[in-house]
Amino acid sequence: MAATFPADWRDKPCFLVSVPAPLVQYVGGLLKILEKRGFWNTDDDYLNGYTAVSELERCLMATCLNVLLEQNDALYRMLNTALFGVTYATVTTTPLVVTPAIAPHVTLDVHDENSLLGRLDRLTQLVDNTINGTSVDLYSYTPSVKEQLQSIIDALGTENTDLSDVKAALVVIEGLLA
Amino acid sequence: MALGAVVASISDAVLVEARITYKARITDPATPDVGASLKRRGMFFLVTSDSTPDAIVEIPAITDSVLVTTGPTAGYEIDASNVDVAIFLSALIDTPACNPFGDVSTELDAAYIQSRV
Repeated sequence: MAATFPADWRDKPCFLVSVPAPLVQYVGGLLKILEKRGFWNTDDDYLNGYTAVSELERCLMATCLNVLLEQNDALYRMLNTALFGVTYATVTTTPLVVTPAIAPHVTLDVHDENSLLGRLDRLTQLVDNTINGTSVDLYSYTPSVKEQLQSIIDALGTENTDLSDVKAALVVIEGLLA
Repeated sequence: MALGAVVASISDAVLVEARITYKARITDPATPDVGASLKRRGMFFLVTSDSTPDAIVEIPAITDSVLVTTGPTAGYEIDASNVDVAIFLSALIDTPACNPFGDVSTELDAAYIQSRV
């Protein structure tokens, strides 16, 4: 029995089907029957069906999934660079080879202090060091604000305190907080 | 159409379409390469316009030397930059090749091998 085909086929949803490359030539070849007028009921069915099937055959060589996967990998690399500072290099474009390869998992290691997490790390280290006097990798301000404030408190509690020393300590604190 | 008129008197059908087919036969053909398979078709999908379907042209026993050799479509896709393919495509578009609805092709959209019986 001749087949019908909806005129509004472009408004219908599409299904994403993964076809292994070695099968493409056979899947495409089997669609041949749909290119024939005799398969379809009316001339309109034929026009719509032929249009749809020729586009489907054309898509079999579009490697749509490869594009999607490459874009997915590109998105992963963008986030890995922005968040952790991992630097990538394009070895070849055809086929696309980028190093380092995408790892099965990520750690919280910061690869570049200019990344998003790197900047947060710098900020955290700066606050820890300057305010609390904590020993960190990137900063070594001394004395810390806490130490300065303690020295001021100690000085104010002592008779004959030289206010110029207190003032100097406050200037240091002002400088650290600027 | 003249033949259609005389057929009408001996048929209950009504003539709505006539097709003209030219056939040519090579009387002394060369020997094909060993392993050449008519089922292994080179399929060329040619754009006609944004609103009309592609013209499909198939070449039997497409040769491996015109297939792309790198990338995900290696061994399947026909290399449009191949000199012989480019000459063929130019001839198709100059002819011009049409889809079954008479829409004229303008450029190649995709080309790859299919197994057709």
